Amino acid sequence: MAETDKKKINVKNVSKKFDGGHVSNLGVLARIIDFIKGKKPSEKIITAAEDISFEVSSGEMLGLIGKNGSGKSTLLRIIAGIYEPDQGDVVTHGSLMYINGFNFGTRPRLTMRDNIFLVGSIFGMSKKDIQERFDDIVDFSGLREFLDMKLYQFSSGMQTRLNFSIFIHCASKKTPDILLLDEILGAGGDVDFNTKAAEKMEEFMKGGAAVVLASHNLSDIKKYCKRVLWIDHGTVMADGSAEEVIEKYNTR
Amino acid sequence: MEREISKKGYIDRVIALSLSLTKVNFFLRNEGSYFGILWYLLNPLALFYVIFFVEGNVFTGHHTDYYAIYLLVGILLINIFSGTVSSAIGTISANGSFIKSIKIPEESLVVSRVMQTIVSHFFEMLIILACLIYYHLNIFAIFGYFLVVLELAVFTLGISFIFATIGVYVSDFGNVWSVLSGLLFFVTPTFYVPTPGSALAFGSLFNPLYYYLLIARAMLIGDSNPPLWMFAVMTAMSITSLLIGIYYFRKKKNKFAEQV
Repeated sequence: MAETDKKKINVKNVSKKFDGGHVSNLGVLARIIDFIKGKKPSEKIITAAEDISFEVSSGEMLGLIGKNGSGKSTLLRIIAGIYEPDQGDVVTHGSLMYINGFNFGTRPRLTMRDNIFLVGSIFGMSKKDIQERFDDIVDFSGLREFLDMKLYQFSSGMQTRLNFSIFIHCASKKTPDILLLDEILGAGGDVDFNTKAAEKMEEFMKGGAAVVLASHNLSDIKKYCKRVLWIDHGTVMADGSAEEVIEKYNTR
Repeated sequence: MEREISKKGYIDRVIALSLSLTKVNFFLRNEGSYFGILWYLLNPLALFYVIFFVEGNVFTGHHTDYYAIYLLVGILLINIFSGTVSSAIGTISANGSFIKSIKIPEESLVVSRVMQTIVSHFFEMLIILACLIYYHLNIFAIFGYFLVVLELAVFTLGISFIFATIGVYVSDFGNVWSVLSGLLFFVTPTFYVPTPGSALAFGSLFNPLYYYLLIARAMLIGDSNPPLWMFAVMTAMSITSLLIGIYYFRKKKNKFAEQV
């Protein structure tokens, strides 16, 4: 039992295809015109994941590399439960945190204060929970003087800082058991903040979380991950130690 | 994946998130001004005055004694239905980036739309209350009326679930709805009174909204007693709509993140 308990993420033979043709999300009018013209909806299947299997144990960090559109984000979303796999199984144990571009429904016309409460409730926290964490969130973001300013006046870097700060304080009641990071380190803040963010992430990792890090920044991957998965067109091209896989990736 | 949360826990989450979305949307709509509340009233009142004026000057006859209340209730209830459904249709796509980033109970996006309508309706009910006082009618009738509004809200919620789902797959469904809801306004006895025994009165029996309008008006004006079976049909429609809506929405919602 102890062995299986340690495996936080268990991905087994997962496949996912998207319909890339123009058929989905057409308007009524376009559908009628297509029908009259006798145009068959084109079928262009995009394979985002093809028979992918791996496991991540607690305290382990898996790197995920590949070109844009290779299926990294899709894979993370499948693990996070946002997408359903067509085939295969994903089993995860414990609390899960998926971080991508920091878009959690903040509203530009609300003040920073109100946004903290809004996003907190999106994460399923009670008002009391948010109040308890309010100061931590504000201090971590370093934006206390802008507390009552509306968000549309924030620079994009400031928004990133706020979002990140709300996120790591709210997404999980304690440190997460599973952390899925999608192109996240060094995202948008200034140097000071990025360092702070990276430290926080490292803290989570050391706290025994199972981490999957998708990034184009190979030096980050090298720095944090022992094991790396390289995917292309949804297929695993290489799976092994960081040096080995990155070497292969660079000489592709 | 923490998805083994109990049903009750899930419903609690839906309600909590719906409430905070409602609060935020309400606040945003009134941003910076308490006069924002007037916007809720402007549309139905403008319509009310135009119809009331035209009806009184152009058409003659077949008015009920309390035509003002009759008309007002007609407009307000139709708006509750059409307006909510219309905002529900786009709500999933509008929150697309958000649904793609985090696993939330998607139901809240629809439920909050209905809650928002109810909150706005509180302000509209003030006008109804004023009418009741003006006509020396029983002001406590407003409670009975509000129960009908709640039943209508449940019915609307069910339809909103269905149409919100269709709106994800059919990008211009909002346009279709604006045509349909325009027709609905005229097909339903909002501003006219169907002559008893006429084909129109018979046809209205197949219009779900007619039941809510008829019973709500009867509650307020108190000059007619709708037969008990109409109450039964009304409640049955609300429950059926909600069950079908929830079933359909839940069946499709796991695909929403890929579609928006």
